[in-house]
Amino acid sequence: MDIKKLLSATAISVMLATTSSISLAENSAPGSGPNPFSDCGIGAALFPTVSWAAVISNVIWDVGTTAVSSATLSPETCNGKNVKTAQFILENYDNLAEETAKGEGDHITAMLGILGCQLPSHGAIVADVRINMATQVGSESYSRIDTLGKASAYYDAVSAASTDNNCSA
Amino acid sequence: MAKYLFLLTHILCCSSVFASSPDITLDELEQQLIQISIQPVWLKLMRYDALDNKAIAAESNFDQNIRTKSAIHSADFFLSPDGGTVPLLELKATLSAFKHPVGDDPNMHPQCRFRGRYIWLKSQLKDSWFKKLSIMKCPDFERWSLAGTTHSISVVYATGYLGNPASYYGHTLIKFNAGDSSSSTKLLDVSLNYGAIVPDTENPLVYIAKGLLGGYESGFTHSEYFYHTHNYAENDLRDLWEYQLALTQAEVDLIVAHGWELLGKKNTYYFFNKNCAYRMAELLEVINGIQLASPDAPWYLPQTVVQKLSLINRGGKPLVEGIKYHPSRQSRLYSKYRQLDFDQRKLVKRIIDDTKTLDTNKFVVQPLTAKHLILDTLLDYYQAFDGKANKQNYNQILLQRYQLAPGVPRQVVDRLTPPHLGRYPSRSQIKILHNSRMGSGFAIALRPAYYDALDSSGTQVPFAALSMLELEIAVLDNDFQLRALNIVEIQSVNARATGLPNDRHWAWKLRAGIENQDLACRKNCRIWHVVADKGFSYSPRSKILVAGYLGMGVQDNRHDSGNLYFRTSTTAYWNITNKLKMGVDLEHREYIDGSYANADKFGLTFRLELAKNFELRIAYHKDQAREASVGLGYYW
Repeated sequence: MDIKKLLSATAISVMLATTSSISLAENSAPGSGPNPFSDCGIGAALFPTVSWAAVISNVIWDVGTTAVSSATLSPETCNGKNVKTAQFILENYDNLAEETAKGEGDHITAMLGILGCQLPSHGAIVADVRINMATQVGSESYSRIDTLGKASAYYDAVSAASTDNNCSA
Repeated sequence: MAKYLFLLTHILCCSSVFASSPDITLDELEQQLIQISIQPVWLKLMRYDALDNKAIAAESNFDQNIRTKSAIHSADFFLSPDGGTVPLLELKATLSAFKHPVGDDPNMHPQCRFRGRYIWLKSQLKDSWFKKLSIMKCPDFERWSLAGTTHSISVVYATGYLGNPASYYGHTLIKFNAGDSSSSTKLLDVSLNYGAIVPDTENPLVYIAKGLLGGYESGFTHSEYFYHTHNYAENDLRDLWEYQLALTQAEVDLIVAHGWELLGKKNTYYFFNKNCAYRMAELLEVINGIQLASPDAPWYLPQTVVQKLSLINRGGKPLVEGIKYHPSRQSRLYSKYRQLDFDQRKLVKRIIDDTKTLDTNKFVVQPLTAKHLILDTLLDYYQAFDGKANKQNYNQILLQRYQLAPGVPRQVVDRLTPPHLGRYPSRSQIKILHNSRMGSGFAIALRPAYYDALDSSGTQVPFAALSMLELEIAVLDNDFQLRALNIVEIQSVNARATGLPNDRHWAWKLRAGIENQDLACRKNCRIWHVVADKGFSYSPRSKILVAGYLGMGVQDNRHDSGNLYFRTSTTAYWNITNKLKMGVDLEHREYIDGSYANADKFGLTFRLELAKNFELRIAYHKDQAREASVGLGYYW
């Protein structure tokens, strides 16, 4: 990797961190707005296939460099909180799917924390998402959907559940 | 003359820096700056090499500027043209730059770019200078550091594993703990990582050579902690140990700010000593009272960082105030698997063989908590070992989990020894010997790193072995011998394996280096050799492991031994008590070429742990001759 890529990675990482902080100040209701997967340019998993050399030298320069279009940062269309949540789901889909089946877990709590959902609402949200996910996982097409598609559907389920449960109140 | 030139230069270039300090003379200021520029913290912040006392005395007398060298070679890390080599000039340039007017982007102001320097210098100069400085707001840094909400620092140790050569020795990260310690925030904490910048398509041989010889640049990156839990614990199946440090808020702020100014700055990477562990240790050393790095040591291991941290006391209190264990997916699988009874383990195996077993009475009649445990074991199993090949099966297990009522079975985490409690990584050994052909003598052995089947400790793999550059020199029958120089020796076994598909009890060994042909050989005995074995290990109880191997060796042709041989070997280990261990090795060689007679070898070794870093070994070996030895080992 050359310096340009390194600086790019650093810059985007800073941008993502910036985005996460911006989200703390935003007042939009959790779950509102477009789906960042379809509307905000999130198009690739953050954990790409890493070359052997990168793995064995503990190089992680590419972490945090998901393809997020500039539109992502527009608060009118894709506020930082939603993008951040979507990214987190994409990175941790398997953990989230398993924890949702179990009814609780660290990743779920962290995700709802990003969304700004209050702790008392978590149980009801997870219960709603669990019902939705049971249908998804049970569908014939589930095995054919890639991680991006599954993460997008999960995001929709979380978004709807957090809205229905007025989770930031 | 040099003194006057120095003063003139100083006045010309720095008069604006001190214009706001009318209460002290220029000489006093100069002396103050000199003292600051040679302080360990300034040298650490700038990554300068340590100074010797003679150079410090010369600078204190205004004789000459101290010259040293910074490990960082990014030009934008320095504000003086000579900042990479002259601490005093960089200090003056930094103070001068702090007074620059703000431009279009406040984030590019030196007060914001070099936040660590700013915080520390402010604590040193205090009212004498900083009170008249225009204090900048740094939006990017504020956001990155979560507006100063980091309340503590953790050092995270990722255990090594034998599936990946450069990960044998583990890895070190630093985590900034913000908010409370609940799960809602810990995965989102900012963490710092350090590594080499390696091209994606690097040739393995080039990689090894450049990694060892300093052919790569390296630096710090940052990401949220969940990236690392994913990469290390979920993908690489490595446990994470988190050591939370007892630091003051000012110390925490300094480390965070220093981490910020290091992002994207380049060093030279050396696999053995100037590696992730060393650079993380350096970063922590900007705090007074923390001494971790060993600049002149030929090797520096991640485990050393946590071991040294655990020994530090400040103000009568230990520096490490808390240790957390984050088991990998594989460790979680093993913990759950051990909670299953015999019939439940059989059921897990049947479900893996055929997921229709989930519809049979064998599974259906299980109580809910047992179903949860069985399914969660299977989810961990597929994620750890068989997920990609059997995504369909994984999905069926997941669906079954959704169809049950939610719930989490009681978590039983294996009691493992934390890495800081393990012995030190390097060993020196002295042995007295008696050889049936050569009489009595003694031997000295040195193993820079790391462990063998009888002395693995802490988070090292039980009954496995990993050593590099192990050297043994002996004096027998008044004859000086280089008996062995093992470049590398690895024995990979998995005593915790479940025996499920893809988590079998396979084992392998690899040894390469120089050794004596056998115990009877006196002259021209040293041969180059490479031996590789593949086999099967079985651990009927946690304290016993038995393994059998088939292997092949390539060697020098000495005494018409030929260059090739096949071998069968068997090893058995028994941890008789926590401190007393026994190992037995049997080997039979069939030489393929040459006229050397086929050979049988035998070894029996007892190891007694005298103290954490002392051992006693009593061994008997038979290999053309018989040899008994008693050795005392010291780990350091």
